[in-house]
Amino acid sequence: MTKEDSADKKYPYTSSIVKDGRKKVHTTFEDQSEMVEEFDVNNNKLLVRKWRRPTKLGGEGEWEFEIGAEVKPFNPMNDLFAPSTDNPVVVRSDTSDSFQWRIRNCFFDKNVYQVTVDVENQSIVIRTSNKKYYKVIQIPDMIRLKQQLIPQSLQWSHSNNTLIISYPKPPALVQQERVKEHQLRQLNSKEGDVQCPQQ
Amino acid sequence: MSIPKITQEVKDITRIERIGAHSHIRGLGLDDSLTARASSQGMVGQRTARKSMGIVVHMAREGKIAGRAVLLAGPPGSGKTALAMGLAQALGSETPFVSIAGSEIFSLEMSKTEALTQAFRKSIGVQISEETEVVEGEVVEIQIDRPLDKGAAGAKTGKLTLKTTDMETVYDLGAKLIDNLQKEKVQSKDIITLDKATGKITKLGRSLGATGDFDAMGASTRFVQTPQGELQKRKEVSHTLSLHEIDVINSRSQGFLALFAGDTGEIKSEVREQIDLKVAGWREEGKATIHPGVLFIDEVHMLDIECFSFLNRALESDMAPILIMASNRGITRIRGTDYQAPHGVPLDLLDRTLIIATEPYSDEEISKILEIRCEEEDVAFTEKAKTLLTKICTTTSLRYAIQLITASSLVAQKRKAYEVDMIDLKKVYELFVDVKRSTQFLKDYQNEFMYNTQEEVDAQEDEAVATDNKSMDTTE
Repeated sequence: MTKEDSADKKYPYTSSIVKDGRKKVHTTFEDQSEMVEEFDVNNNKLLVRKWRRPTKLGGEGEWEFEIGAEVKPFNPMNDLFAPSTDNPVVVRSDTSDSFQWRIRNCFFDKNVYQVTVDVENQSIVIRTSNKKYYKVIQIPDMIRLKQQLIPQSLQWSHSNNTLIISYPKPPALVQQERVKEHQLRQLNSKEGDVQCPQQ
Repeated sequence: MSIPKITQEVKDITRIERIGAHSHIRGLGLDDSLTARASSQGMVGQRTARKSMGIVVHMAREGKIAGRAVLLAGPPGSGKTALAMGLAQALGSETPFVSIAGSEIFSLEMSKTEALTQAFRKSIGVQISEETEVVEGEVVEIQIDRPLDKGAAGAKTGKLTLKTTDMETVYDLGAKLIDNLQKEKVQSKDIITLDKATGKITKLGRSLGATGDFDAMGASTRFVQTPQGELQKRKEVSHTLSLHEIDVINSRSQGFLALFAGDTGEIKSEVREQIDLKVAGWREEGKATIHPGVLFIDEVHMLDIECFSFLNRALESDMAPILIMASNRGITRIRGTDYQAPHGVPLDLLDRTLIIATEPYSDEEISKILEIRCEEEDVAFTEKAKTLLTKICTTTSLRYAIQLITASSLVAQKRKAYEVDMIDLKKVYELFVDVKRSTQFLKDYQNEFMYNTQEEVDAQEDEAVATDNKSMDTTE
């Protein structure tokens, strides 16, 4: 479906399919940015949320992952460069009542890591005392809800070389997601590839 | 000069540029008042032509005048392409310079006019600032692994460790980026920026931590603070793209339609119109600046009448670049017609071009050019050999003489001499025949070749000679 065809459509509009045990929901917004959410068919857990925004020069942009991550092996012949797989990797995978991040490949002791809330910039900051890792995490959901982060609510642990950070979802968001889950159940998505209407 | 065998590894580090026919040219060799110096920046002689090209440089730099055409006319080997290359160098890397050969547009992939349009649009640069994802940090270590068998096609792999004051990350490198890193001569303790999408490397300077490493530093060495925070960040970067590149980004058919579009390499005119509108919009908003560049078409007589009429039309667009053409033809047939025209270019197009003539070189100029080429190809000649080479050049051609330089140096290497002497040159001169001798050879032995059409003519000639001989016999 090209962009011209959708001119008379009401934004945002959504379509969905079920594939590989995931219900994939594609939403296009008025500024032509696209969002794809993938839910587990069995328990309706949100596995992936990714965005693609229109670029200035035109053409298709890159998908940006908000939740979940893409497994893309590095190919030295074609790819330019990519962080080595030994580096810490952040993946957000929420539970039903809290935001959760897992940072794999954190090989140092627990006392090296320091996770805090930066109130001024409304973000979570991970520091290391040996200056090997530093990461600022923002929570787009909280920004969308215009809610402040509370330092006391942040929890984190370190085991099996993985840093697990959780922050409770505000009740308003939990409520919102429950409504959305209900809608999702009603959403009639077909199995397999969708046929375009004009075909 | 010694001739040590340079090993692959040593070569890899410095990355020697390959020597081409015009690689010795570094500019037009003009001073500030646009007067041509006798020999400068690899250019010799051709003073008036160089001065005229200097004016073209000014025209292109100001970028105000669109759609001017210049024709370089002169005999083969008189430096037409060299002048164009010099112009490209003089314009610098900011102004787009596109060089094509006239025969390049006759491709089966796309129509002639499409090829010309693409060439035109490649020579117009759009400078625009865009937010891109970059990695910025101090180089801790570069590690490059070469495959064990050097000749194998296996890609080089490597790792690059970058750090900020807060973190450190190891990156896997692709073959293309390794090449870029080597070209930019990136070292440990350099502060660099890597563009995530294009792999472009920008060296910001040396780390402040490296101040005490060496006593002597180049005047241009800049010391920079190691960046803070995360390595990956979003940054507003200003870069120049050609109109054609923007066309390509926007013309990719989306989704499954790409399967049916077929990649003919042609870009729809609707896409172009859309881009033109978009660019004009950016320009009005002050988001982008246009840099009209220079399009050089070598061997322009290879174009046919349709291309010429297209050029006429295309030059009228206010987005047109400065067009430089070169031709070594005299009055000849315009391709695709039966009409004769000077330089093989129709009169209506000639009428709107500025014509720059190049003259054959004088003997001193030739010897100077050969000297520059010897230097470029890193070959030493004895004085006698040099005079002989100049002589060969005047009797044959400049191009042939230049071919002999490296060939004779290889012969000299074989007898373990450091300088090329008369005997080496003589040997090469005998080994490789020039056009004149080759024609002579053909004339002499044409009966032994296949399909020689001259046979009949010769037979008649032979008869004539025979009768001549007879008559001479009788006179005797």
